[in-house]
Amino acid sequence: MNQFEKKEVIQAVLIADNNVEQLRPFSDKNSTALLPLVNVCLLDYALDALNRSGIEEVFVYSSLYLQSVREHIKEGIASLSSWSVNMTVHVIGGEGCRCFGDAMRDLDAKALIRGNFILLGADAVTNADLRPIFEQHKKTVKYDKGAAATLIFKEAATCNVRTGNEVMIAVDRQNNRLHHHQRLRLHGKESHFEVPLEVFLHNSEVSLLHNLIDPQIAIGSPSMLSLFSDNFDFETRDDFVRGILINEEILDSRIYVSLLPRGQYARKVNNWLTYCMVSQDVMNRWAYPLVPDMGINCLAQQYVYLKNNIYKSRKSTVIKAALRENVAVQAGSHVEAGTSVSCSVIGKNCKIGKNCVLVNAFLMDGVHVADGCKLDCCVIGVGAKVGAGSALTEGTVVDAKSVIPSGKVLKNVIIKCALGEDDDLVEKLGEQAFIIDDKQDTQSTYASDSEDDVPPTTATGIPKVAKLPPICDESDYTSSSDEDESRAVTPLVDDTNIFLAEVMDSLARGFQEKSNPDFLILEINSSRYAYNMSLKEVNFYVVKAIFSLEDIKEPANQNVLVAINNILKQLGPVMSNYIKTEDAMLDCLRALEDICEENEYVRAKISKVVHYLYDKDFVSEDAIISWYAQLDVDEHRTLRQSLKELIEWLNQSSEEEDDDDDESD
Amino acid sequence: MKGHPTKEVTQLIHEIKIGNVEGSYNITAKTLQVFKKIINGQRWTNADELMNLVRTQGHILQSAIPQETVTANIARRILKLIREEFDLLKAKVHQFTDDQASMSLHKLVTQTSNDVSVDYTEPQQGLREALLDHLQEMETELETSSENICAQAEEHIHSSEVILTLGHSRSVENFLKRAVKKRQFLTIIIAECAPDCRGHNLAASLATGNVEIIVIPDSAIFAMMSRVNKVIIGTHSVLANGGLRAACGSYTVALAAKHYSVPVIVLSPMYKLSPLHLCSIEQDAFNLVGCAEDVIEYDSLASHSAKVYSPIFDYVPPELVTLFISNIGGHAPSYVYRLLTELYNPEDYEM
Repeated sequence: MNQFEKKEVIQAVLIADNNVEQLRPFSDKNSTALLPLVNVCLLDYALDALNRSGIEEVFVYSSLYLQSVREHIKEGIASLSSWSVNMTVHVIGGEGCRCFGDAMRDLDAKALIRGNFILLGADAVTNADLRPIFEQHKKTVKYDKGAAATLIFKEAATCNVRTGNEVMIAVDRQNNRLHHHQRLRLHGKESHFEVPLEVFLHNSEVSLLHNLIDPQIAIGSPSMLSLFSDNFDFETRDDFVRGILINEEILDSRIYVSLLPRGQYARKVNNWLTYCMVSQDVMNRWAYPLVPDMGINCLAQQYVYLKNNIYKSRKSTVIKAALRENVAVQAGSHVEAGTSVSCSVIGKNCKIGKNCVLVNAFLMDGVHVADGCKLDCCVIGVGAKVGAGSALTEGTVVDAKSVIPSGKVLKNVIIKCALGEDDDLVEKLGEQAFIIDDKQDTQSTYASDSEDDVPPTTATGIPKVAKLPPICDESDYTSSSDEDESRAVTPLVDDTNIFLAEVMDSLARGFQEKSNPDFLILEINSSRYAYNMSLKEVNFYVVKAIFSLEDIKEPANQNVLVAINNILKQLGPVMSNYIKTEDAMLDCLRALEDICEENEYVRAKISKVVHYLYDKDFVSEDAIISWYAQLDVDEHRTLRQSLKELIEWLNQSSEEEDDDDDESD
Repeated sequence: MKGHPTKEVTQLIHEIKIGNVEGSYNITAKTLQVFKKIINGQRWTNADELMNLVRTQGHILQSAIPQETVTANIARRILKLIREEFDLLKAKVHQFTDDQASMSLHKLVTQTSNDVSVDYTEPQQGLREALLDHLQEMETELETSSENICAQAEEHIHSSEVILTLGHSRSVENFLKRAVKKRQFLTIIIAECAPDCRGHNLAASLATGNVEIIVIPDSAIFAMMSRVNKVIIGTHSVLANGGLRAACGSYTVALAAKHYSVPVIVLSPMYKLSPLHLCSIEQDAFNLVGCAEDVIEYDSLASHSAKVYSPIFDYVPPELVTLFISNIGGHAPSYVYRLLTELYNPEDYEM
């Protein structure tokens, strides 16, 4: 028995047709596994990664384009691809297998998998050594018979670009068990996460990790396949994870998590944005040794590595053109004078004309670009031709063999060379160029695998190739327009803002639950020490918080005075606790000044509000007058106007002799 | 690429690529075995065919893994060997017809020009056996090379000296171990050689002996150099001009040593000598750039906007090297060219 175990061959399953719709129009014609990334097919990256991990038997599962995948594997073996050494590759597939779950059920039925196996998509690009994780999984299985899978994640700076591969998980620190799994929304940031309380109640140490990239690589136990067979509603991998997490007891299965250590890279290419990001990462050598100059998938090295991450084939000609940074130029390509290329990939036998500008452009084999073109953030398929003076920008994707006439300006469109059956024509550009609708509405299935309350994906649809926004907020970075938008949405979270939010929370709750003002004061004081606020700031923010309560923001019957009266009846003691001295009163009035700018109801009735505060002895007459004197003449013209009467009245009532002319200072 | 790689060559390339075979010595030994198999197993009828065979496979090895120059060096050595054996066998045959010993001086001088166009297609009896014998010799030489270098340790390291080294070279490890055994009160300073920090391994391996070991970060090399008596480093390969292609950080060490006039001794077995020059056209391609995550984490904010380089090698110009110690003795850098002509045939410099 022991001898058999020693001879165990680690098996791996590669799912070749996944997320078909995301990479249109390429995915309409061929398997996405055969999409070239930095001039090497995605499938080859995955096979190479498995080979480097010492895997000896691989099943490539394909359904839609079984034949082309099979041919590719055959060619690879014939041309001595690096993965063909010491590794047998079987291509299997079934008709009518439409989703990930079907593939798993089919695999279970075929009974090819003998033990624990590695499961990944053909679109995964990784340099990770999966052996230690595999060994770890085997240990876990020995200890916990119900361990169905170990999921592999990579920590990454998710920053402000969402690709749909980011996840938030809750994991037990002690045994790496997964307790909660949530895919982050593609568009917009979550304002809150809901994690079931049991996660924290039943485990002593739980980590919440939100900066993870899910490369969809897993180590599966044999039970994983049978779980798919038993549960016909598991369609995607996320279904499986969620299903197991919800029915942990019933299914008696558990999922474990493994994070890739430093130096090991893993990412998934499932839309054009990730295609662009992974291409850059490969050229920036994060996936070392899967870098172009080390010869991925082939024996001989194809590129010379030059400064600024430029990979240039010896057999390509670049005449007086500027290759700026992160450029790969494959053999037989020809770049004419005056052209500048940066962050781009140029395939085999391409021809780039004079004075072109290529930024973030991904050209596959045999693309012809005429003179004076501007290609920015676009993907151009095999053998396509772009006419002189065209500009393709903002995520334009051009199908293979398309011919784009001269002088076209295209933004964010998909161009096909011929119309398919279910393509909706938007505009015909030429004999071999049609702009088609990119079917963004049908993409809702993609987002729906996260929480139910996620709104269906909005007009932005599938992520496109785009310039990655800089992460730092330094002004010397050129910022794109959409980055400014996103910055406006998310305000700066600093201590004062958190403090204000906390005070507002306490007060709102105190007001609703009619709790003892003393407790509220205690709460506010503790927040104050937590965020190290000065007394002046506390006074200011407490008043601001009181006036920012929901009831005052949107008063019933639009009568703001009644609302203020109601609230202060309850929260008056809190306010008077802080507003005692003259200075504090001034802070209080300054806070009101702030509130006026935000709340139009208060602004309209400002003199009455101040008067009310005066009546209730929150602020003194002297404070009001000195505050009024401090108000800027130009900036607060309307405010001064509305307060003028009140001040005059105050001056009279105090029977003090005063210069009536308040505009003088 | 002309021709197809044999199964063994493909296997070797793959093993080196995925890191199963690492270290110059192991790669050299494996390459030698592969070539032995080719000579032994492949079909060839004359020296010319065999030379083409070796040249093709050598070229394939070189184009697949250009960073490992030792593979091509071995191919060159074997080519030279074939030539020599062929000439020898031919000379034996010709000895009876044309006695070379009786040739006049004039004839000897003019003869060399004819020699270039020796017809290697002539089949020679016993060539295969002779070659295999010589390969056996080469193997022995390879196996003893480390030992031969170590044997010179006593000549260079004396008691109560302070030695500085960098990273973890196997030759240096053995050399120092021998020195520690023979000499007392040695202090060995080891620069850790980030980001791999293989200096730590060397320190752990040497720490058993009666010796003081100090591990320093690379940044402290200059600071420590003033008290050092000798710098002893290994190298990845020795270039034709006597310069080094050595682990990143070697140039820092060599420059600091130059500033304090500390002798720099480089341990290099003969198989590391390559007839290559650091040519200016592809100067960037001379180096190998490693994984970006060695330097900065992928998780960090700067990772996407920064350009990250993690070079693996340094070029150390020959004028900074005091002495090479190889398995056949010590040589000055200026003598390397001479060693090269002894080792390889000039016609084989270009594979």
